Amino acid sequence: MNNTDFIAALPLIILAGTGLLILLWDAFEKTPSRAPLILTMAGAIAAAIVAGINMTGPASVAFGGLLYDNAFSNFFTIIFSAATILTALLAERYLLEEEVLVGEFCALILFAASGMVMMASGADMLVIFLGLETMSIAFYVLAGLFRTKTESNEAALKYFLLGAFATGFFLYGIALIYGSLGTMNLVAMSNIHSVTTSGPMLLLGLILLIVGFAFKVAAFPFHQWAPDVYEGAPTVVSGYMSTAGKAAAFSAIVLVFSSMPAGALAGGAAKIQIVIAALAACSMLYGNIVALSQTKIKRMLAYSSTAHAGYLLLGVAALNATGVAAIEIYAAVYLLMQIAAFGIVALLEKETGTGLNLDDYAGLAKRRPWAAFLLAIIMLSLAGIPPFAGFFGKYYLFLAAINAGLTWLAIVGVVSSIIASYFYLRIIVLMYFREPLHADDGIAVKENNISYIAIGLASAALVVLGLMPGLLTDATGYFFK
Amino acid sequence: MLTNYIPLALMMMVAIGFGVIMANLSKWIGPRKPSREKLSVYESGMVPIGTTHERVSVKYYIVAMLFIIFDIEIVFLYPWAVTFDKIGAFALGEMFLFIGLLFIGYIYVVKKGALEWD
Amino acid sequence: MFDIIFYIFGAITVGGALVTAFARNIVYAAFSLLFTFFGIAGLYIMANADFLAVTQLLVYVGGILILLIFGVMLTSRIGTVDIRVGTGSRWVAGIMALGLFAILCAAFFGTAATHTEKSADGKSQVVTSWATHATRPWSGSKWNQDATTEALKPKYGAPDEVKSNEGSSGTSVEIGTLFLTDYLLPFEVISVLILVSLLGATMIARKEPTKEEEAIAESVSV
Repeated sequence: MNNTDFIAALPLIILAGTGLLILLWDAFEKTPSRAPLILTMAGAIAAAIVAGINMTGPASVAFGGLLYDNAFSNFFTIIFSAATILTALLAERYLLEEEVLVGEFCALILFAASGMVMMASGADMLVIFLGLETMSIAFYVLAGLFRTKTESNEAALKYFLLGAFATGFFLYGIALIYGSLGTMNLVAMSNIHSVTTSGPMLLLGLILLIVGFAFKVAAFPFHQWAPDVYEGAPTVVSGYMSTAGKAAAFSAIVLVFSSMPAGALAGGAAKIQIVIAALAACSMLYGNIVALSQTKIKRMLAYSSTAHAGYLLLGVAALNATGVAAIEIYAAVYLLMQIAAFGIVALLEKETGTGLNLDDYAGLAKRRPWAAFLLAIIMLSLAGIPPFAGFFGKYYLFLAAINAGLTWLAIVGVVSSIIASYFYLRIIVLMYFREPLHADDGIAVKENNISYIAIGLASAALVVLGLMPGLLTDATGYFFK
Repeated sequence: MLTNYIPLALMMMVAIGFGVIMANLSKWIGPRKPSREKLSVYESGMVPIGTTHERVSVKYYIVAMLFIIFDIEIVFLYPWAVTFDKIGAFALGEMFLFIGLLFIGYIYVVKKGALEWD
Repeated sequence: MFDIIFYIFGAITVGGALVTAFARNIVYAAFSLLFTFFGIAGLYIMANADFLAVTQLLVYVGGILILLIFGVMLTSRIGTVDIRVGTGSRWVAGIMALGLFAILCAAFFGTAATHTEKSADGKSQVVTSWATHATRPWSGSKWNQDATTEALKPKYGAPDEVKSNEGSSGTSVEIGTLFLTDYLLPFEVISVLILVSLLGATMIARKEPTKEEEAIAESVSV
């Protein structure tokens, strides 16, 4: 390990090292306090700064072809760090009040973040797989953080069983790709000139890989776990899982598919593209249509997250420079929107589990004007209404699809966005134009400044990025250059 | 290459054969005169209490789980043990890091009382 | 001889799996899994993957199977429960499994294992996919230039080489060398992964001490 290797892996080392530190702290410290949360944020900020510095440097492959250090990987590292910081901020009240394991929570989100960094910067499928597993195991445990609640246990068990099954598909896919190309290394793979006689093995391997990834991002036929898990898991954890976890899976998909040797598929590339495009179309339509009929806000957000996975898959189906940039942009924007949305839900829910129905949000504007205002911004952005950042994210994705000749897919995307705007706007209507259903205030009465700061920051970022999308597009380093 | 495994195969055959023969030898060569008293369950001369399908305490499970996790660690020690002399001090450092990380986990487990029986 | 041993191990594996899938009693299912794991270990040895075989025995037979049987014993009256599911879904599952089998067969028999790769002078060269480890583009990395170069020389067991590879010292040395050199990062990451599992297992399964118990523990230690 020389210096450049160390620097390339530094964000990873910082994240995992902070997690270890917190674990040690937790072993010796008995009284719950804010210290692990502060440490988590410090670690994530440090990782983001190092990634930012690395991003401006030259692109390289560290550890003899195991870890990318380029604009793509560092961009995603910054995204994951941002998600970790926001989650730690939002979790402050949530964890200290419900008296759950603060130290373990912080250590797990940091380990999950280090796994995500590995997924976004792995230049070898081995590293990507290890990252995926580190992240997934941390998520299984995080979903069951409330050990005394039945729903939380159910969420953890369901997620674990189905996730382990999906990992099997993923691993089999890697094995078949390795078998047909002779390497698991993405650098070596893209170096393969052409495959003289291509058989179905590589195609099958890629399809199994897609199945594994589609599960992790909750895309259409593999989404059934998502509503139950997001509903049962602690709300801040749901926010973290459905954003950073998804972004990580998408970064890994992009890495793997963009490294496929050009000639290797020999006509199979078109088949793969059709498969991904079909997944994208089904996810967008199904997620949004089913979200229409939900009465609980966490389930609604879960189904809409399936739809958002569909939008991101649209960029994978395109898989051109615009598509990759669009995925980066939308992953960042979606992360801000969804974490903030779950953050508001966490702020309003009661320990007894009430305050989670859509009806509870009726008349919110009169009772919690700030929460209602921020939620309105987030919902407008999720619906993709200009001038908020969600609009530009979707715009680039649709643009990428059209550039790749997938106009029909872009049309499906637009149609499903229109369907989606119904249930996003319905929440705004409920908050501002309806009277509260319960006289006794179905929602929690706590006011928490730190959570408001986190949600406010995310919402402000949505507005700023919406007004100045150039900030993000420059950061992706592909677009308009 | 399979010739390397002939001793192993022989040993397994001997082990299986020994077990099967010893377990059944008394049955094959000994006289069998069963009576009601002889066929009853023998438990150190005491009258048996409860069923044979006793539930095991859940405490075993966490110990078993932790055992598997450290078992997997051993799997990685094994290839290191056969090569570290070729690579030298660097390999030693790597293994210290590997075990050091898991040692933190071990400290956590002990401090949290997961290995205490009560 | 090689073929006969292969089929013996294959039969042990498949037979164990069949009993596991169709046994009425979960205890029988768990125990017959032992034969499946053992058979797979044998197949690994046949494929010249001795390290994998040892791992299989150490982890699956020595660990996971024990855990599984513990799980059975922890659950009350599970031995008497008929664990099979309804026949309708069994047919669907059978058809799907056969379909998967057909697809995998088609993939394996329909694929040839050669491709061309850019060599250093820019010309294309045809290589079989089993041999590309020797031509990894980064194999000039620092760690390959010292004493480990020698250890890296033995090739991975290609299917045709297996039978002729007499007297090989096994794969453990190669795997160990690769872990400590080229695959240094995954090696250390694995320990983080194990640590996360350790933390998760402890967190989920541990009994949280109640307030009274904590008070008792405090008074005892004082």
